[in-house]
Amino acid sequence: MQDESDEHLVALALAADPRAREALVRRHLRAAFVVAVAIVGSAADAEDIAQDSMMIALNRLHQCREPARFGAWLRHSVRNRALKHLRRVKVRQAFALRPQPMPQAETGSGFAVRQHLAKALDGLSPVQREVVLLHDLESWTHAEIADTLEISEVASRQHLFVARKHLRQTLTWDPTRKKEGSHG
Amino acid sequence: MDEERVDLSGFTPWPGAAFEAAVRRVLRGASPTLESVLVRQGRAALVAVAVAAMLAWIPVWLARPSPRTVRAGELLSQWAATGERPTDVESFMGALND
Repeated sequence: MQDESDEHLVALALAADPRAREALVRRHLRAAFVVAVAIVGSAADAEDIAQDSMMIALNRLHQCREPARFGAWLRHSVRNRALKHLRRVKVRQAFALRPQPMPQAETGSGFAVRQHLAKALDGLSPVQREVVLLHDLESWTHAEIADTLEISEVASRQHLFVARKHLRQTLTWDPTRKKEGSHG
Repeated sequence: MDEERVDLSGFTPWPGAAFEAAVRRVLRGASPTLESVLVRQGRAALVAVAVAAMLAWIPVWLARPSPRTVRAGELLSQWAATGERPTDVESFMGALND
């Protein structure tokens, strides 16, 4: 099943083949997360958005007009869902009378690392975040990134270059060192 | 190129066994519900019924009398009932010739 094309997997999934549905989830869930996290910033929220979008995509498979481009169709839906989530969060924040408690998922181990990375990624544009996460985290090629983000390969390389430069500067910068230096 | 990669592994979604759990959760949540099956099959059934109705209507439409024939019938009935020659008998004759 792993070597099957998306087109074939979608056809099998429409015929209610559970293995094809599972193969589609395994193949596209992480990329869905990357698209979501590039927009919303929070890894926990992005995981929820990716899972929800994948569930909806599987339930609406018959609406996928180009089964060969199932991944692009899914990521388009993820992007819309993430933007909707972001708008909702902004409205909630604008009307919040007191700070909201942090969700349970955001307090586990590895949270500090994620928080640090999220802060670093925050300085990038959404497309730069998507490019660097797809390339450096998911090992996508520039051709794949260009196809899914509808940009040229050259643009993908440029976004990656800028994103990496920014991340290296942000991630290696240690605020305590600067503090010590100013005191000494 | 790979040595230039920025280490973003801390951002890996669903690390370890959590990925398997996420896959299961998605598949459980996406199992086709009775409602979605009915909606999908209902839509197909609706299209089939519409096509069947159109096909059934075609012979009726082809066999229906033309407006001129209907008019000739009306004139004949009127003539028979009243005994008076209809004023537009020329059109009546035309209809009969048709």
